[in-house]
Amino acid sequence: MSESTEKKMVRLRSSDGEVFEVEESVAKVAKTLQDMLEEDCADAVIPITCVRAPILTKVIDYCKDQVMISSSSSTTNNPNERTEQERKAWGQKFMEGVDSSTLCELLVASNFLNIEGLLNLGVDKMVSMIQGKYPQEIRDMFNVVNDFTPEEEEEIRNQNAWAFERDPYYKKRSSSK
Amino acid sequence: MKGACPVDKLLAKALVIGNFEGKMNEMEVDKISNLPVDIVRRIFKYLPMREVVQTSLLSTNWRYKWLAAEELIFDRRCFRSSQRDSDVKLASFVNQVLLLHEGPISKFKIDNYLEKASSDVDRWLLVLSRKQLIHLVLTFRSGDYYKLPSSLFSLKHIKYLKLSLCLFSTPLSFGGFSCLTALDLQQVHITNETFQSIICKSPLLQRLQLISCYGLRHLSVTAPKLEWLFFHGDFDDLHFDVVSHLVEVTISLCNLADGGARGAVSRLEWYLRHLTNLKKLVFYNYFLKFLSTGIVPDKLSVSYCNLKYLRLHVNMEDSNQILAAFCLFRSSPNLEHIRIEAKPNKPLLLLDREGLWDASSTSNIGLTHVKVVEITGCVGLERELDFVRFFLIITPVLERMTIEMHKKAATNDSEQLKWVKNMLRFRRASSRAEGNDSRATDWSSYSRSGCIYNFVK
Repeated sequence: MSESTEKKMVRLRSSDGEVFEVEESVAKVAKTLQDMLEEDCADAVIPITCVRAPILTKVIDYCKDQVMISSSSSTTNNPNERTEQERKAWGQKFMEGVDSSTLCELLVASNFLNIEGLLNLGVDKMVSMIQGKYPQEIRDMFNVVNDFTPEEEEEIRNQNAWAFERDPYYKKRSSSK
Repeated sequence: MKGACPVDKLLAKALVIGNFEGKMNEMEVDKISNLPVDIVRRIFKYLPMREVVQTSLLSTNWRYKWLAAEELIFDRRCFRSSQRDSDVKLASFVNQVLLLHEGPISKFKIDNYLEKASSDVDRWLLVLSRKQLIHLVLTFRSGDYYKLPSSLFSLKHIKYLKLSLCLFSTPLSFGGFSCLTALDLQQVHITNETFQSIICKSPLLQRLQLISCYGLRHLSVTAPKLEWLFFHGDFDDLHFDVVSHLVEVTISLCNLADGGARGAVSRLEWYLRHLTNLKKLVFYNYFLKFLSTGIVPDKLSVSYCNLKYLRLHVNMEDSNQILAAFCLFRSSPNLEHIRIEAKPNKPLLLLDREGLWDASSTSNIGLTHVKVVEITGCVGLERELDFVRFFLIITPVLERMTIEMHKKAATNDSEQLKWVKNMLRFRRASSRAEGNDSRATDWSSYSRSGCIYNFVK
């Protein structure tokens, strides 16, 4: 990091008070931070009020990777350049092991910091987690508490009956579970 | 909200974004319910409609979230096809959704799901016209033409419009679709004037598909940004103007059109004169027949230098069509891929010309860049062999030639074998093929079952 050309550093503070020092180029992957930095508030510690330290660590990992790709892609014969397929595989690996709770926080963080690529990865992951699941399965996964009375539940089912009708695909899938 | 609320539900409710550092056990917290609506909308975009609606059952917090979905897509994936009263069910559902919906709707799609239109559809379009709609697909399975209400013509933000079985009549106040880039009309009833008014008033149009449209007899296309055109159906006359961005054209003429008399100007020259930037050109059914009626010039006055791919339906027994193909070959010096589909049009007056394949009629055709030639639908005619021989002689860099027999080829096995044997004797211009002792091996296969003969470099 301490090479001949001194790299400008930026400090970020997570909601739980931890301070992270990162290169400016890494911080600028986040559009929100880029806008702030361009308006010049260099020395100050930027508070990221809605992101906890473990989440911010993950976000910074993502930004570092983006910087690595883009800085090397300008040179010819770049070993870090990825094909569409590699990028997809990388994204999947990056989101691997992210649990439902972390995923929600990551989504909020990437939305707040305006990191389109990370937001897309998060949305993809979310869709893959909930697609084809029964409401109860989604509730279990995300600790959503069913606060409907049986009567209310019945009412909602009746209002949009077609959406709740069992179809063979669902039956098959749930029995194989 | 009746009944006792569990404690952790209350805690979850108390937890707002930006306050995740609470000391409660993380795993117990419902974070998904507090995601900002923008993110929820994005997630809904990738879920089938059915599952989006199912989220209403998660909790009271989720009951109406799905109404923020920007894309409302009703197709076969979201309903079971066996539902008989599905039209009524769908209509009442859409009515309900649109009544409650908040915010913009970017995409509305009922693709081939409704049996026929009802007065409900008028109402939907009225609501959608006030929702900044960008993408609309409205196709019906059958029934009478649905008369489009005037609200359709006030969709100011529309970029993509696909309609079928509709009847067009533009209101006097129609100001155009200023954002429209893709228009797809199938089996719609539209007059020449209405069509022209829509095309002229949609200056950004890039893709245009017209399939079996009724009432459109004089197809006039003036579209400066148009890049892609697909036409299938009938017309009496055709006119292109200001189509300098057009690169890909498919025209399939179902019945032989009248066309107008053009005096001394050939139809090929007249109809193709504005299409100079084409990269890909496909003529199906009667269109080549239509173009080759009357005079067929040796070469067109303009050169199609960008044209790389040419696909033609040719009646092998109609000399004029073959001459028209020659004319297109001569006018397109950079062709790389040619596909000829032998298609016997209904018995029309066949003009057989002596010496069609003589040096004089095929002179100055230099297909010097052609790498692939495909000839399909062969039935074992002498003419087809002529074509094969012609291509083999004239293409110095040919890499692959495929000849495919028609499924119902009348010739029996021994005749076909003879036909193939004849084909194998032809001289070839491509250096990659010549000098090979065993010519038969160049044709990778001529098995009877596949009836596809491949000549590979």
